[in-house]
Amino acid sequence: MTRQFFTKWFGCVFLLALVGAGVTNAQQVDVRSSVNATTIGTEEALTYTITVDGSDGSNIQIPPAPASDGLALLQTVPGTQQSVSIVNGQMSRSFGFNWTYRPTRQGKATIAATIVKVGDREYHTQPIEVTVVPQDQRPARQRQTTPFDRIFRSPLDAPQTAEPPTPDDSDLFIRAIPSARSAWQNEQVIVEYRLYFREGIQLRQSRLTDSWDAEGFWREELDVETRPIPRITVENGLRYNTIVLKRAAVFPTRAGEMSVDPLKIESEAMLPFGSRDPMQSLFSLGTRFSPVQLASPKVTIESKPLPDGAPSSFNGAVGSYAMTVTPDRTSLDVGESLQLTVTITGQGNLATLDAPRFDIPAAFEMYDPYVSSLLDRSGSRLGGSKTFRYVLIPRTNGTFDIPPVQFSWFDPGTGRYRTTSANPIPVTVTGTATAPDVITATTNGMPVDDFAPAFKSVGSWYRLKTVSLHDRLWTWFLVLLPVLVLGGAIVWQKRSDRYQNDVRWARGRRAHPLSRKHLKQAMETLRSGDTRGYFEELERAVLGFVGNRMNVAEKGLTRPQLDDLLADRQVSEPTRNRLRHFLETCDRGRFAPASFSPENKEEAFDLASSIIPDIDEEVGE
Amino acid sequence: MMHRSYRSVFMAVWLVLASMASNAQDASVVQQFDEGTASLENGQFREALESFEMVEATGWVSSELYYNTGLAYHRMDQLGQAIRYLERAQELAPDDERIQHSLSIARGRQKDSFSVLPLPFWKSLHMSAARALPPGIAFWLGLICWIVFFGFLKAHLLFDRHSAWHNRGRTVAGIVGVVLLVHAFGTSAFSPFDVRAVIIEGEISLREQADPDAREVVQLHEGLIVTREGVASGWVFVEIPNGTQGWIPESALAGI
Repeated sequence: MTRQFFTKWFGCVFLLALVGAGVTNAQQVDVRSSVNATTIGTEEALTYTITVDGSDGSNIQIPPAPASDGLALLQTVPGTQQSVSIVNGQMSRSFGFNWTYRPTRQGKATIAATIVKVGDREYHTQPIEVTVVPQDQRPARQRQTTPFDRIFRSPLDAPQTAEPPTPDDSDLFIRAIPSARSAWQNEQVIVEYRLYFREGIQLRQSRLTDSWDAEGFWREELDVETRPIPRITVENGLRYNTIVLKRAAVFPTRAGEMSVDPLKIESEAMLPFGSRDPMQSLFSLGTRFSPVQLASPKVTIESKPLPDGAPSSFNGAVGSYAMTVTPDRTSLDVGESLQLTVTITGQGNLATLDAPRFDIPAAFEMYDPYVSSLLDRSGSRLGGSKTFRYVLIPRTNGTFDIPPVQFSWFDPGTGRYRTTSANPIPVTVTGTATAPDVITATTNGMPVDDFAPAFKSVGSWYRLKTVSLHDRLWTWFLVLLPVLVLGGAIVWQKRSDRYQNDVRWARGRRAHPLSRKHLKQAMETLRSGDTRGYFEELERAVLGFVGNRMNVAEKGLTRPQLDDLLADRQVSEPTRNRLRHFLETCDRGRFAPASFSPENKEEAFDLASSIIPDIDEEVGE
Repeated sequence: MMHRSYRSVFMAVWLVLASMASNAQDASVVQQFDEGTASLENGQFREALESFEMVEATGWVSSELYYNTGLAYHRMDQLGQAIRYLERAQELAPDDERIQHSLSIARGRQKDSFSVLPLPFWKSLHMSAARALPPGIAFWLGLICWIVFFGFLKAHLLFDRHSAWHNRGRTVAGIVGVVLLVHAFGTSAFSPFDVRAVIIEGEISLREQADPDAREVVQLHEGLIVTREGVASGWVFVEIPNGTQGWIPESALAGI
């Protein structure tokens, strides 16, 4: 009783002293409830604590003791505690109110939720369930002691145990916390390993027992604090200190279900009473710490394949990125170098990030890029930048555009592919190429890995054929021409032969041309005023035609002989009469030309012109 | 009489040679070519291309013109067009080392690499014959033989030339003339060479149907030479070297 009173009195004084220190750092208020054990014996007491974090203490109303079922409250006025911690220069305070309960029966017991008022706001705690077992079946656990317990303990009291107590699984464990259980292929997943240990437990000489591995993943370690300050957290109603042992970024390299190995450590743990009991320390100097082996559970991650529809510039990057493209200059001479720096920044697997693909003008020679990475492992995710420095050397002068550099990645946040593209970079190259010092020509004088130079002159010009040979008519005509020529020659030859051998036929063929010739001659004679000559030509035209057509010598014929010949060849009487009349007219014209008027002359001409075809028609073949 | 027969043959040959000699190009064409070449060497590739296109528009071409055009496109990083003109240049000058070298460089920069289907023997034979004796040359040679044949025939029919020498000459000239003319017109009408085209877009999908939503057969890249098989509403049915067939947009192709 004296000890309990002293403890409470000392706690109140300490609380007031800290409040008086005037710590006024405003923080987010957090209220949580916890018990010292979730399984107790029927003869044990249960301590229930409400902790308020983030308040300066001035506006906390002392909460009422929560109602209980299967437990009896031993005190109505709570005990109070306060602690102050400074992390990274930030001061935080924690206030605690605790009550003691004693079980009234075996089985399940519950401490109900209660309300804590901090200023104007109300915070609700969670109900806590505990199990009450017979006293002899209660789990071994450390006693909650204070330094004053040791002071007021009788030296005659027997030591509680000769062996240091061993913490059970609920006192000390490692938890693996992945940022996601399902991820896209090559997506960043953070796996954090947290050590949970009950308040008062001390650890030393901790080390990894196995090499940690994650088969099927690309792994990158993230920084954790080398001297971590434990954070208090409540798990299943129990208060724990937690520290981060390890934080790693893993990237699934293939699709499917894959596992990250457990993190295993060996350490030596000292339970609170084992380390703080001066008497036990006196009698068991080397055994205050007991060896413990801890292992986190295995973490399984389902990796999904990336969706279809990746752009052509995608080369496997997954995360969130940005790209900059910077040339060191845009004007240079032939043979000088241009450095093109492509920097990709963002969060993702930068170590395996490939250089973005882009084409350069053929006039440029490009070397493999110099690659440098700067990874930021200090944050909660792996990020940083990767730089590709390309060296480009122009071989010829001119103005060129370095095409836009494109970079694509898969954004797991939106589940879509994204592409960023830099602007094209105009580059002006001046000067001419100097003689190379290295071998740049093949054995036949051609440049290595480049086109041969331009032709300065043309050997042969060709007419561009827009029409095919077989579609040109003149080609067919040229082919047929010899046939036509030969055919014509044969016909001409035969005609010549007939002219020579067939007089009747030859005279008949000449009858018309000669008669036309004489008629034409008659007209010319008439125009010259020679009437006599005119009628002579008319008579010659008609008689000549009759002689040729009938193959007779017309000059020696008398008029009656002529008439008989025509009658023999079936020439009609009217035609013969007209011929007689025409010949008489011609006779008169030759011997008395003055008696003919111009009309009479034309009439004679018309008569001659009409008689010739009539005779030709009636004579027949 | 015999003199007249020989004279007609001589006249025919003279006509043929005179028509071939009339293929002399205009001086302005040469001047334009020289200007384009000068621009090309000064790095003014667009100006060079303009000059070369003006030359081509006149209807006069040469392997050198095509080669320089291809080189200008290459300098402008248009691989498809460069290959297109180098292929044209090689058709005119298949044995030119400069063209062969540059074409091999250009082909080496292609992304696509397909196995090539072997040609049927008759097609190879026809192609060899067409290369050895192009239709134009075959036509003129065949026409000369044809005329000589008719000269002999005329001497035989009209001038009673019946010697053995005349008979043999007439037979040979007739057979050779007919064969050459059939080859010329046959090759012209039924060319053994495929209608080729080159892909001028960076990347294009070969699709099963002439529809942008049709299933993609394979992705093709700039510079690949395909065979045109047919056209339908802005799409071309093509065959790639390994025999796979499909449709691609007409705008992605340029004829060789």
